[in-house]
Order: sequence, then structure tokens, then C-alpha cells
Amino acid sequence: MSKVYITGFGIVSSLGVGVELNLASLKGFKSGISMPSFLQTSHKELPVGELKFSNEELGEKLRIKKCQSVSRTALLGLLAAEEALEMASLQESDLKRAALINGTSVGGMDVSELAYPSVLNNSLKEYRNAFENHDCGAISQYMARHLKIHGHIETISTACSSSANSIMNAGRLIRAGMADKVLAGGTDALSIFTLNGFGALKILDPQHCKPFDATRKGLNLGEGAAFLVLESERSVEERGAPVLGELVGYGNCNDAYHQTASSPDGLGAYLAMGKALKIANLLPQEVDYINAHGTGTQNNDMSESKAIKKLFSDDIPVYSSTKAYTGHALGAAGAIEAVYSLLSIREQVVFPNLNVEAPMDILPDPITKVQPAKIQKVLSNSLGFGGNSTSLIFSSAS
Amino acid sequence: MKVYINSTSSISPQQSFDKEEYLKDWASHEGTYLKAQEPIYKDIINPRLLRRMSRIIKMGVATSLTALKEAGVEKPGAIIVGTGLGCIQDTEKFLSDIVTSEEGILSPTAFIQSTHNTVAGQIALLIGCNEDNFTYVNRGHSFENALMDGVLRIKEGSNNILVAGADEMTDEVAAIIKAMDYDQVDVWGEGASAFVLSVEGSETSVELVGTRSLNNLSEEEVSGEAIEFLSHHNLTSEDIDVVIVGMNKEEDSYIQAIKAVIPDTTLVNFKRVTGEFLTAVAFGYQLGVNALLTQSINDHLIIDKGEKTSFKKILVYNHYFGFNHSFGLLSK
Repeated sequence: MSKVYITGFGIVSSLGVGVELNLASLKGFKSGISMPSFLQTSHKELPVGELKFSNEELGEKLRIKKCQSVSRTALLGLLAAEEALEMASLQESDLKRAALINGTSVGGMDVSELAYPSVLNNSLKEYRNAFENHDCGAISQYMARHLKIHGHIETISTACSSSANSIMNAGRLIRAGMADKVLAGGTDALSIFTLNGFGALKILDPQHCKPFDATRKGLNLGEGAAFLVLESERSVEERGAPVLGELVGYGNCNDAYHQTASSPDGLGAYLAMGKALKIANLLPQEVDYINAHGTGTQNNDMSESKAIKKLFSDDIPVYSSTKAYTGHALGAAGAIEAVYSLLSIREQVVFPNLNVEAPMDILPDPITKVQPAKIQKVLSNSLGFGGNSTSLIFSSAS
Repeated sequence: MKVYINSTSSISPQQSFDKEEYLKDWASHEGTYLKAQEPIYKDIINPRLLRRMSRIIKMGVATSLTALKEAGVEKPGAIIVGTGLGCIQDTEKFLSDIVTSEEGILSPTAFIQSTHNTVAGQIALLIGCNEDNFTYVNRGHSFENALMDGVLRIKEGSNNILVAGADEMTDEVAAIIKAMDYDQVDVWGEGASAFVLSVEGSETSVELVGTRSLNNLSEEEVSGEAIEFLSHHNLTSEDIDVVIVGMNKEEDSYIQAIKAVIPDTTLVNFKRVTGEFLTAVAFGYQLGVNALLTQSINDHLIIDKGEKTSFKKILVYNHYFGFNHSFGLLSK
């Protein structure tokens, strides 16, 4: 069975466009949480992880001229994807048979939600521009066309685990010999729809979120995108491509407890982590760092802590959540944190968990400093609505 | 390794859920789209839970539970759902609540149920299934993504994979689609179909020989890919007894391209039942399985009648707006 190599990655988050800006913010304790300036919500008092560029500015970076009706989700996705392809030195000819696997929670909702009031009062003139890219699959199709990717396309929408599942599927396709080169990740833009949705669920922290703090009040919504280039051994050898890391394990399962809440004992996260370790053929103590899902909600952090405790027992690896930097970018979160996991391996540091004053008492305290450490194996969790739980394990290049 | 379809269940704009009555009385439809003929759900889903479910959830859950029951599977090895637009009724409701309340105090119920993976999540919740749970939302390939994943899982060593495709239509969405003014489609529709894929078959199984999804093909390329797909499975056009296609319009150049290379078979248009929607092809597969098991196809769906009276191999072909194309091969 082929190994699954990572030869490139790209990222856009509220920390900025590109790997290096994200890394500098992570190392510099610089959170990307702010008040919304581009999202056209009336809730300007709610902190979010917003990338401070307008759609027009994002379009310029991508050399897209007319982007009024292009979803911000597609623009963010393309910026991350272009960086990943460039890092992997993939040429247009390489992309002929490459696959694209994209994860997103609400796709082109940012465009359709702005047109919807005019539908309700019968004043909308141009329906096609407003709605033709509403569906999640439209984002992937737009991206594939722009990137000239001609191979297999998949779009996954499993709420907050969407892009972790994209990366998992890239691993499955490569191991099965069904793909050689896969661009996999996910993208989600802030939307009025999701901001109000999480608001209605009463799980938004009115201040900066505090993952793994006993007094945590909820999450901050974020936006962004990240994509990895994953390749088979054969493809890497043929191209002589430098290997940046390896996807060694993945596990998916359903918590089957509640439509939105995680089970109190964290069964879903426990099973997903266990499956990922099994695929990776690793023992729990071989994990050097856990990039936790750690959203900052009472429910998630409790449930995830219990799952980690149950699996790792008294030998708990260092862990942190980076959500206080980026906010929770929903469908993109898993891929964003996959990039942070790979950076943790590259830089041999653990990124801090911001805003912890009174740590929870289930696990040892999360890492709150930029801590140098020997990092070879990183486990990254993504847990979502609908009970969807996914764990990925990345390894240094062997 | 062979992959068998051990059971199916469909809700469509014609009577298809009750297999005794399968496509028997041809219903004519009024209104802007073909509305699904839904069964009495309380016989299938706990009425207490039913109250909160939107139609896509009901259709997806009812067909899935029925397919599992028919296959005698309590806990599937994975739950894989494809849906083009997802829970559009709750999405619309929450959006309109946001607009009318001007982002005021909102009930979260519609938001919770608007998430694309609600159907797959609800099935897991109802049957207590902790196994893998995936939802694909890939436009005209939403069901194809799910089906391909199901086949891959059998090859990875899992068994009894539940694969479903589901989409709902609402009057509001139908009005929006009408205002978008597409001339590629005669009529839109909705529905759900579910399948259990297994590593072992029985008398009542059909083999899923293969599937293939391709994007952005010309008519000429569709002809070539059809033959290539068959030859990949060591078959020629003469081995195919029935071709089940999804025609977006009664004049569909891609279907002509298929006919050109597989000329003398029975040609069947499943979209006369379903209308067009992003996971309509799931019904095409269900129709194919049913045709192989009953050796019959409703006359309303037949475009060309071939000479063969017994069916062993069926090719399924569908496209969405000429961009998403897919082939599937069923064998008895």
C-alpha cells in the first residue's frame, strides 16, 4: 500500500494570506480575532476571525476581474490552493489527472444570503448570479476550472469536520491506487447565516474565545481555507518532489448522540482517534502533540478532554487549540489545523493555546507558550454537528 | 472483489416506495415541479421524532431504514449520503427568519437541521451507528461521490455500506430556479433512494460492476468514454441489454451520443419519473436494480425498445448540464 506524502500546503485565515504570515502570528501570540468589518451583519459587536481583505482585493490577488458574484468561499479556497500547488511545484500538465477534494459547510451562502431579502420582497433582478453558485459543489467546480484541474472532484460537507474528511479521503484514494496527486482541504467564508445560527445556539463567546479554560463561554466564528497536496510514492519518485510530511493515519466515526452536541464522554472523538492510531499503526504514547478541535464551547472542550483522557490515560501528549487565533472556520478548520500540524513538525515547536487563565481540570494544562519540542507525530481532531468526528495523524517525512 | 447491491428503496414522484405497487399507476403532476409521493412515515419512523423532520430528512431516513431492513442489516459498516442542495427547506426557513427578524432573536431549530449532514447524522442517531459517516455535496455528482465511496469501502474491507441520495424541492426554490431561466431542463423534481452494498450477494442481489464519473465532456467524448468504460469491464455495446439514461430534455444531444455507440438496446429515461435534480441518478440505479430483479420496465419510461427480452446487463448514464457525467454498470 502506497505511503501518502505531503508535498505542498497553502493557507488563508484571519492571521493572513499564506503560510509565513500564519506562522509569524502563531509564534508571535497574535490573534486574528476582531470585530467584523467586511461581513455585512448587524452584529458588529460579535468578535470573529475575519480576513481583512474585501472580495475585490482577494479577486485582484487571484487575477480574477469580475468577482461581484463569486463566493468569498471560492476566493479564499483558491488563494490557499494556489499556494499549495506552488509549494509542491505542480505544473499545469501535472494537474490533468489530479483530483480535487474540497470540504465546505455552507458553500456559496455568502452570496445567496445577500440576495435573499430581495427575493422575499420580489425585487431581485438577476437570479442567476445570486444563486447559481449557492451549492457547495459549485465552489469546487469553480476552483477546479480556475486551477485547470481535470481529474476527479469530490465535495464533502460534514459540518466542522468537512476538510479533515477531505484530507482523509485523499489518503484513502492514494492508498487504494485510485489517485496519484490530490489537492485536498476546505474553505468557508464568514456568513450572516452561520453567525446567526451559532448565535441562536447560544454558543458564541461575546469576547475572545477561551478554549480549554474552565470559564469558557463559547466559540468565535472564523473564516479561511487550507489545502494540502498529497501524492503517492510513485508520483513523488517520478517528479523527484521534496516531501514535507506524511499522512499516516485517519479515522472517522459518528458520535450518534445528538444532532449538534457531542456526547458527554466524548465517544466520537475517542473512537476517531483510536481508528487513526490503528491505521497509522501507532501506540498512543507515540503521538508528540495534539492539535485539538478545542472550539471554546462548554460542550466540545469537556467532551474532547474526556476522550483524550480516556485514550491517552496518564501519558497525555502536549496539546493546544489554535482556535483562539483563527476563530472556528467550520468546514475549513480541519485543513487549517492540518497545516498548523505540519508547521509544528517543520518548526519543531508547539503553538500556544491563547486566553487560558483558569485551565480545566480533566487534562494537564494546555501549552500556552511557543514551546520547542521534538515533534514527529501530530494528531489533529475535527468534531462537528451531526456527530461527525475525524482525527488525522501527520508524521515528519520518513 | 465483487460489490453487490443487496437492497434498495426509493421515494420518487411516482409510486416507488411500495415495491408491490412499483410504478404501477402512472400519476400525472400539476405544479412547477414533480413532487415526491411520500409514504406514511409513522409506520417507518418514530412519530415523536417525525414531527421535527423536514421532507428531505424523512425521505432520506425512510428509504435508508427500509433498505437496511430489507438487507437484514442492523448496523451498517458506514453511512454515506449524497445530496446536491441538502436541507434546503430548513435553510430557507432560517434565512427568512434572519431577514424578517433583522438578525434578531432566532430559534436554532431550522439552523440545526439545515446542515448538509443532517440526513446522515439522523440515520446514525436513529440506529445508534458509530461507524464512518460521510455526506457528499458535489453538484451533479453528489450521489456518484457517495456510491464511489461505498464501493471503495467494500474494497477496504468494510461490509454492508448504506449509500443514499436525497434532495427535496420547495415551492420557493422551484420559483428561484424558474427565475434563473435555464432552458436545459424540462422539469425539476425531487426524491431519495437508498442502497445497501455488500461483499456477498444472494438471489435477490444485483452486482454493481463499476462506476465512473467524469467532468466537462463533449458529445463525442461521451461516446468514446461509454465504450471505454464498457471495455474496461471487458464488455462491448452488444453485451448491454438496457441503457438507463437521465434526459434533461426530450431532445438531449448527450443521449444521442450514447445511442450512437450503443444502438440496438432498450433505452430508458428515468427522469420521466424523477424530473431533474442533483441526485436524480440514484433513482436511475434503483430502477436498474429493479429491472434486473423483475425483468420488466414500465412502458412510460421506454424511449426505444430493443429486441432483447431478458435483461442481464444494464448501463446507467447521466449528466448534469453537460458538465457532470457518470456511468454505472449493473449485472445480474
